[in-house]
Amino acid sequence: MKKTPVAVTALALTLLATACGGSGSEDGETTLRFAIWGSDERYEIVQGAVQAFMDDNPGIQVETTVAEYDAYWQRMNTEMAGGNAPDVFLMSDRHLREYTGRNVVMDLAPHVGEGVRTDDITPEVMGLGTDGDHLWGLPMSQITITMPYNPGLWEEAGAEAPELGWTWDDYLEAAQTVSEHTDEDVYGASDFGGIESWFKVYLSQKGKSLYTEDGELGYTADDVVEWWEMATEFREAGATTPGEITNDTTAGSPMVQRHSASEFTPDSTFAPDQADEFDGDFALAPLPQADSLGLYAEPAMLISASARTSHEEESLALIDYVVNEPAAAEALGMTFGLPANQTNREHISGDLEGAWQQVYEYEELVGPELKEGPPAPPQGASALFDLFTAYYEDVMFDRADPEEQARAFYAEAEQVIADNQD
Amino acid sequence: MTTPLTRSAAARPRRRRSGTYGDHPATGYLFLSPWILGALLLFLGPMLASLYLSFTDYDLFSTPNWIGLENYERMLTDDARFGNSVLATVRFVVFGVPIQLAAALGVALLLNRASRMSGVYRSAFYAPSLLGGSVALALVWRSLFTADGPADQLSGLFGMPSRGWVNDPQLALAVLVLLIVWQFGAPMVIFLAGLKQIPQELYDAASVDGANAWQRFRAITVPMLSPVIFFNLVLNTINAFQVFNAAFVVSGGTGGPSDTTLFYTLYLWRKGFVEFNMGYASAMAWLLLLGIALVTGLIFRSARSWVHYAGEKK
Repeated sequence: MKKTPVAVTALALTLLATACGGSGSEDGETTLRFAIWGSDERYEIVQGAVQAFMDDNPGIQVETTVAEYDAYWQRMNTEMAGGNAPDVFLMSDRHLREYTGRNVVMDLAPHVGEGVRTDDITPEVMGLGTDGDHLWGLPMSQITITMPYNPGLWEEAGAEAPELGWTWDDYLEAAQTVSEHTDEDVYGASDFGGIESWFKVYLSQKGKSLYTEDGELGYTADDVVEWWEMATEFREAGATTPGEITNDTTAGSPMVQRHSASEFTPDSTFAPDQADEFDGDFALAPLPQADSLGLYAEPAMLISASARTSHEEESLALIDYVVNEPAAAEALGMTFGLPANQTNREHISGDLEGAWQQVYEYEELVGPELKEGPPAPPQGASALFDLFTAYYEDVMFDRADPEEQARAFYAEAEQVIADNQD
Repeated sequence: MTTPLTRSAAARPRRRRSGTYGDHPATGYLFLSPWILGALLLFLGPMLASLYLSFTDYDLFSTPNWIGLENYERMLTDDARFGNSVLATVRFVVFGVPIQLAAALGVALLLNRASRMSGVYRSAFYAPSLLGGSVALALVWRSLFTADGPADQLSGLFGMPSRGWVNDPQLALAVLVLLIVWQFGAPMVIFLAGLKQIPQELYDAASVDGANAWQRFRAITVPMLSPVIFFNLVLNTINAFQVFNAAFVVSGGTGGPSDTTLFYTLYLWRKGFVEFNMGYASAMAWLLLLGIALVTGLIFRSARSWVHYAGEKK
């Protein structure tokens, strides 16, 4: 009887150990984990492409997981650190160096031509994933920034319609007019000051960039001061949304919540039936400009594989399929923007409808003026993106002077970049 | 059959002296092993590791490099958001804990009156604490105080239009303070137990001497309850310093608006898992430990002047 506890404990420990062991592979099927960010709608659309892949590749199962952008990266960071990354995942420009710098992303370069095809992809969008001899992922699409607005409200207010070549002063005037002629809690524009992505366009309009080729900051504190003072001018003139509205994004952006009649967004963020949400009052315009239009042609994101995947061949097949197969392109439509693969781009262009048709037309309009996207931003870029917003919040709530706050931000930005360089 | 019995009876005193498993210490340790393993692997090990990492530039992926006190130095001299996070946390503790304890004591006093329904009330008031700091609760809280939510409608009724308390830097922290105050159940139960310990004779004697309710509360209830108040204060202060879920959910992980809900633990998490600065995050964790130890120490020190134990001469 004395031996019983030993036996029981041993048994319990064995059970515990096996429980941690995880499941082995079964019946010769490979299961890939594929992580995307976006809405549930986008998930459904991606599932269509994934299903086509599974139909064409019996023996490979793909488990797709979806999360909102912020949650996606929180989870990805933890999973990467824990060595438990998904096999295939979407990669944003500002996280790219964080991950490649830490050797967790598979280099696709050795597989180009065998397993991964790149010859039909528009060269403008290949830059982001290319890093010397390495290729860290294929571009999912080509996008640029656009300004969706509510033409109904603009016309009613008598504001001048935005057109290619209009300026920030025009925007201020138009947005102010719209604010004055709409309900008290509806503004002409959403406050744009806190989003680094729009600041990036502004810098590009002035011939600068967020980062230089060597990963240093490509702008000065004065540029941030200028940008935040301009945003403050807009806000104080009543042209853009006040802090409480800008900050409230639980139920969507201020424009989606009908508190604003225009805002900036990447043109890959619409569903085909987007216009219905605004009862058809939905149009796309180019951004107001400073010295030039300054818009980039960029991939919305890359599709990359984990360097630690145990299913290398299958992961490469999935990446290639999603970017290059017509069947995938048909399923994906314009959910990530214009297809990166030129044949696919033409292939789907005939069947577009609603907002996707509008995006296509917008890309045709600004296409000739688009600049090739900048190289991947350095390590620390994802933190800076968040800090840019966090510092601006004090400005948008009138708790800090735009100039002081801009200089404080810049000092920290330099610090973050310096920290990440050693 | 009788011989073994007597033998074991004779042996018993000796064995008892050296413990039940004196002859087989291994068996005892084997029984303890799940706990010991847990404590070593899941608690002590990670703690020591984080102490080491706090002196490095560990970024979750690469080999940590020793950088001495740099993390600590930067935190204390050159990190504005660290200051914001300390401020948010201290505000939360300073407002949240006393109000929570006052609410707990108030309700405990009401429940202490004999009533047929007191059992029901006690359970009802304790129920929120069962939900505790859960994510579900924080989500509910967020939707209560979001734009055009119930809180907005209520304040609109009183002519104070608001646009989502959680979006207003003046009010966002209040939302979190309300959330912790609402979870007064656990200290309430402890207060209730303490109140039951106070001898009724004291109140009777005071009444005979003409003391009114307030005087009885000040002169009898508070001093007699002071050890319990002390206990609740220490416990809830320590807990409040470590609140994470609520702030994370209510601000969507950002600590906004304007860093007003950027609690220490939230900033720590952002540093470690969003900005990949795990060394810095570890240093923050150790500084939090020191900070809590300091505050707890101060409360203990102050206790000498206001906590009275029964039978103690003062």
